Amino acid sequence: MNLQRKLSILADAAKYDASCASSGSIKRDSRGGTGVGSTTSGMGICHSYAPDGRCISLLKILLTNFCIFDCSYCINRASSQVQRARFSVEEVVDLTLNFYKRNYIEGLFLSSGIIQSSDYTMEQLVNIARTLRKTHDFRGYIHLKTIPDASEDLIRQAGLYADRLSINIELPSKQSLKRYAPEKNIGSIHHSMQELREHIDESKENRKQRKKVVSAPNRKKTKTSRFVFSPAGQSTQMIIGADESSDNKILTLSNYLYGKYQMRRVYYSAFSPIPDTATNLPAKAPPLVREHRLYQADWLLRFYGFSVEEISNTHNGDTGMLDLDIDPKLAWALHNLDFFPINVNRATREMLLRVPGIGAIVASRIIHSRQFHNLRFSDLKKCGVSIKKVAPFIEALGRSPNSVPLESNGLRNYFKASTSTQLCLFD
Amino acid sequence: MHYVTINDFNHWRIQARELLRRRISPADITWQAEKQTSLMLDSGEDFLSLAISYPNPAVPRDFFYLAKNVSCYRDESRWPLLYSMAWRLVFEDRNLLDFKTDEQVSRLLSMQKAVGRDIHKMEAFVRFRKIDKPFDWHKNDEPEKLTQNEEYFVSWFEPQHLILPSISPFFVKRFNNMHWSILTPDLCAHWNGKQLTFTEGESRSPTAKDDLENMWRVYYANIFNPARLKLKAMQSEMPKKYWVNLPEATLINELTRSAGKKVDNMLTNSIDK
Ligand code: SF4
Repeated sequence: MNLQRKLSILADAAKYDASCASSGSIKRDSRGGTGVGSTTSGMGICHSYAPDGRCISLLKILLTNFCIFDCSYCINRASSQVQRARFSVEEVVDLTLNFYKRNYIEGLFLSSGIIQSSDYTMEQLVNIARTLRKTHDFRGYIHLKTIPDASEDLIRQAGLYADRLSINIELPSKQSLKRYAPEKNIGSIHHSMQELREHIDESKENRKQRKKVVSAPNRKKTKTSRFVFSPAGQSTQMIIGADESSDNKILTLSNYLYGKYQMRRVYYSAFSPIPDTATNLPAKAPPLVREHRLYQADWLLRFYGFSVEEISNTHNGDTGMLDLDIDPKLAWALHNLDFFPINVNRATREMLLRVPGIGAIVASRIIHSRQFHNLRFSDLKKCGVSIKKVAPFIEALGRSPNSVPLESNGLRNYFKASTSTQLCLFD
Repeated sequence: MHYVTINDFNHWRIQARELLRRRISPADITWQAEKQTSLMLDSGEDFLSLAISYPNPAVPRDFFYLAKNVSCYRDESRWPLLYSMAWRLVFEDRNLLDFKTDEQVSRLLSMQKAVGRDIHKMEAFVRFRKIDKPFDWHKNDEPEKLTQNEEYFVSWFEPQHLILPSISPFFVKRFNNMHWSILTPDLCAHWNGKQLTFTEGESRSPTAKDDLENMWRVYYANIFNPARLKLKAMQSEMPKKYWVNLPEATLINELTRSAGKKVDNMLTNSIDK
């Protein structure tokens, strides 16, 4: 099989993994080395966009799509009729370097079906990362998928060569995992995540210590390894819509993963029809709007001080599902009208952040500007606020230009009309 | 009226300082781009003979960075605007930059933003092609001796603003051990592993072929999920004006057109079972 054919099979097999981020690593570049590559601690670069609107930042491929497991939702499961292929170590290394040198990518995201055993598979992945780093002094981004159950030593090595490691949690509940991925073991997934967290924490702690030592006077130059264990942390992915789990269940799990294992990101991947779908799974278009709402809710959990219960109990009684028509923050506001209106000249930052239409940047601007004088609606506009959106929820000096009665149903329709046109823009 | 000629940011900085030291008001200056001045050579620096009345004009550090970015903006109005802002910061209000609603401040900020976006997109969308020998920018000079294991790359890009000098360090750091040239209509940058050289702009893209582009197209076609087609989201991040230089862009129309059918096939196949 020629290389092009392999690439087409093994890229196709990798596209259901939603992550393509190349952000949040450490600052390094190719000066003083023999190879190519640079990374920063900030945002990665999207070198292209596929017609599905998703960023292409990394060469995202599987080492092989042969797999001894039979996870129903997966295109690579043992019983799927899909054509199989396997890259050699050199092939992956060459593709990565060749793409990188042409400025197509930020690096490699490598995953694999499970062949022979977890350790054997993991060893292959580590081998590729090691060759890139050691033989070619590659200093771009590497994201490795970690095979749960792989030996501690392999995981440790993986973390030294990779910028980020990830283990997919796959499904929102233990029962679903049992049903759709019977060979996977929830216990060992959690165990591996815990292990990663410990390594990452330890490496961070060491770096801190080292900085202290280095900045101390009269230091001798200590020779330290430039490898840091998975500097961009760990992430995971959950498939949405393959099973019956509610959004509340999904967000509860995410919240747990963020807290317990210090995940950098939980990715949500709308279950998408695949060639040769298993019969026990829904054959329908991927629930993209739901996926989008989950990302919004996830954001509120992490950066806006909302709790899972607050976000997921706002709609349809107690189904625990997010409102698909409006965003979760607005849904919460409409469900908690007694909280409003709030006064922008007095409210705390936390309160401001609860207003639909006021994000973190706008909240900071409001707090900065109101030091000088009390704000009017016209001042808010200069801070970048859409008056139309926030007017029902706030008080400022003077009279609101759009007075909409604070009454839940009317408001919901008022916003629903404006959001649904917005969604069309992107669909 | 004083005529002042500017060729780049550093030059502007030096000139602006000398002008401020002599309290020459923005209204008394005519700024001109370097190229026009060859016609009126001696008009340049007559103001230097004026007495210095304000020896140490200082501007806030933030303004320095702002000015550096804005100096890349492709519009001659940037030099007088920057000077006018420097003048106001020195003689009117040192905190002027905090007033985002001031017309000049907001104009400068939006210019800075446009330049920042252009830089970001250029870092992303430059595409190198591999060539057999270094791009021949010496023209007619002795060809460079080729060393084994060295690789040579060339790229053609048309940035909206004059950002090549600011962006080159990014490529130098990233591709330090490669030899590369980035050609633009305004200016070209060449890195030989040791030294960065700028030469005059080229009028068109070089005729280089790189077989690896096909491999990249294969990747692009297969990483796309037809069940998630969202053309507008793609175009807002990767507007059509960039497509001419992206090898993968030739596939976009066909991938989009066939997406519906592919998804229908997947859905019917699974229902038939
Ligand atoms: S282990 Fe399961 S999810 Fe992973 S490749 Fe194999 S079948 Fe797919």
